[in-house]
Amino acid sequence: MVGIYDFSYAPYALGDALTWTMNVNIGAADAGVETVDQYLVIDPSRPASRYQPFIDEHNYVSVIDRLFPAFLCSPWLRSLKLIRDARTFNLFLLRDVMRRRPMWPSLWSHLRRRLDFISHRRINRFYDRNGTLPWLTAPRGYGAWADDFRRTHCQGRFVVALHVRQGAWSLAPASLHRDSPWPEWQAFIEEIGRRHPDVVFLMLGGYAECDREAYRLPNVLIPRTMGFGLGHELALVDHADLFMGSSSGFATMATFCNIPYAITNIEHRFAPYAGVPTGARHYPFGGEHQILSWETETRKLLLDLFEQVRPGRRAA
Amino acid sequence: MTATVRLRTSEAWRSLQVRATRALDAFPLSLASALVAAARRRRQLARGTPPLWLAKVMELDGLPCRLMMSLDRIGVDLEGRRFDVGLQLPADVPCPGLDDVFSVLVTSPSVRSIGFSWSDASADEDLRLMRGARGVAGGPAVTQERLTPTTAHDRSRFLVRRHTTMALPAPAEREARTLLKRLAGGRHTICLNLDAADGSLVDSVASAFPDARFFALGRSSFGLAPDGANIVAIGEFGFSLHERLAFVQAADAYVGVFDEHACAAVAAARPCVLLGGVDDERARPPAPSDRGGVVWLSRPYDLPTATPLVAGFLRRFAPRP
Repeated sequence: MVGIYDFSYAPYALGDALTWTMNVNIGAADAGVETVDQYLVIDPSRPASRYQPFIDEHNYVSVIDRLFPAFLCSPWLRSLKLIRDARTFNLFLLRDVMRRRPMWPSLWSHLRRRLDFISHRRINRFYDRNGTLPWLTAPRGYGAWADDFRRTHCQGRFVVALHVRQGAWSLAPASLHRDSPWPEWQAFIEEIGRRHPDVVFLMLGGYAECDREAYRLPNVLIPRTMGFGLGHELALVDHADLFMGSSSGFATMATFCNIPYAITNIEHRFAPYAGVPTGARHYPFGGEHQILSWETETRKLLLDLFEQVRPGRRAA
Repeated sequence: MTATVRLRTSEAWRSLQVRATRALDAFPLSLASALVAAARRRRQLARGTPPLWLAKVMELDGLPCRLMMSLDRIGVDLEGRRFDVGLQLPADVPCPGLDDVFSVLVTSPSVRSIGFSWSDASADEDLRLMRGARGVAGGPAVTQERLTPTTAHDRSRFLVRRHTTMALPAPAEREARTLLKRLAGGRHTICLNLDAADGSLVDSVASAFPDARFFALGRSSFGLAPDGANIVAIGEFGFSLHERLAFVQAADAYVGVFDEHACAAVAAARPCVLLGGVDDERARPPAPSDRGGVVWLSRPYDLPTATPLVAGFLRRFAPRP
């Protein structure tokens, strides 16, 4: 199976990269192959699509550097190439076309610069047919590290991976209406600390996005301040007992690595892309402890969600 | 005036190029463009350009540093010509530093494409493709290596060699330089990249330079910054490797282990005190030496001997009052 992520028409975004990986997995499962070769294609002179004009030849290296681990989450990943030269990529592409290898997006979609990087249509269809999905895993090479992190820093506690979207503080603020109210989350974390002292929260996301108050919460660990990056964080999501957080890239990881989750503040206009009605409690492939919430968070809502999804903890 | 006109002309030309390329994105021009591009690449390969460097990684420890030294060597050997890199990584071996490996590769301005593979079959397929034009005069320039731990000899050669420029991304450079200005102003700044065992050396050297500002990198750097000392622990600042490398290059001097940070400092011609970092130390301990701007000490070092050596070396490069 060949996966093509050409940044001239595909976005630099965690959630979209993970949804793309999921679609590549589905292509592989449909074709009955268990090896995935991924190509990331960047033309340095115009490194991003027209929707991300702030990414240019001077800063794209920083952006792809931050996003790179997201492309390591397929369990069947055999090779991954970042190609900054159209000729080289097209030579590989031609080879794979001549071998009739299945591709996502298809050759014709790629040539027309079209990629469905948002919707769950293909994923839902696969689930309808097979009753399961080819789930994502921790980024290649990071799984054992996550086990070790849990042993060292979490000491047998119930681990909640947490992401509170604070796009306003990010390096490239966008879609700020999707941000979550930090004070409500803070009150929730403090209350959980009183009720459940055996729970530890791993606060994920960019260093700049994390509120300073979080440093003072005794039941919160912030991997970015410990010198870790996105690859480590995605591995921690995969190895967590539960994910809670705003609808964002980390929520996509939780969705597609099949752990218990409560995803909050989902944009209503996302519903048709997910193939569910607005207000649906689960994705079509979601289980009992994989809950969607379409409302802006409040302390009470978060506490309710926590109690609903907590029993879904995976067997250790 | 002439310069302005030239600049505008080059900008217009560049804009025209980008527009023309965008036009080729439309189907069916995109199909023709892809076929032509593939054919041109194949013809280039037949001529042996651009070269391809394939490395089979035998040991993951210290991989970013080894890669940085290899890329530097190849960049100098190829005199700035661009090349492709393929790394074959061991399958099913934990590699939680793969992001740093990627970060190193992507900063080399000469590296055009980066490939990771976790299987012999995949690496062989790519090699066959690259060598597909065999028989044509010149032949493809494919270099295959086994990436083993570096020896004292490799590191010594790195220190005396001419270096290629690292192309750290502009945002990382800006972040590092801005922070350095805010925290140190115009003071002499020294980057520390040490572990807790080096605390005594840090204390004694820092006290010898009360006017300088020391910055401790590393995940456990907090323990190196006692209250009131002129040391700032930046290990918890959430820096990426790019930002750390930019920080090292922006500071005035480097004291620390011989890893990728040290390579960046050496490449930027910063005065360096390098500690250990030699895998065959026991077999052949490097003698303390001062090659221009570098002092290299093996571990374990003798604190009473090392302190004046390091302090004296740093003083040579400190600004005169």
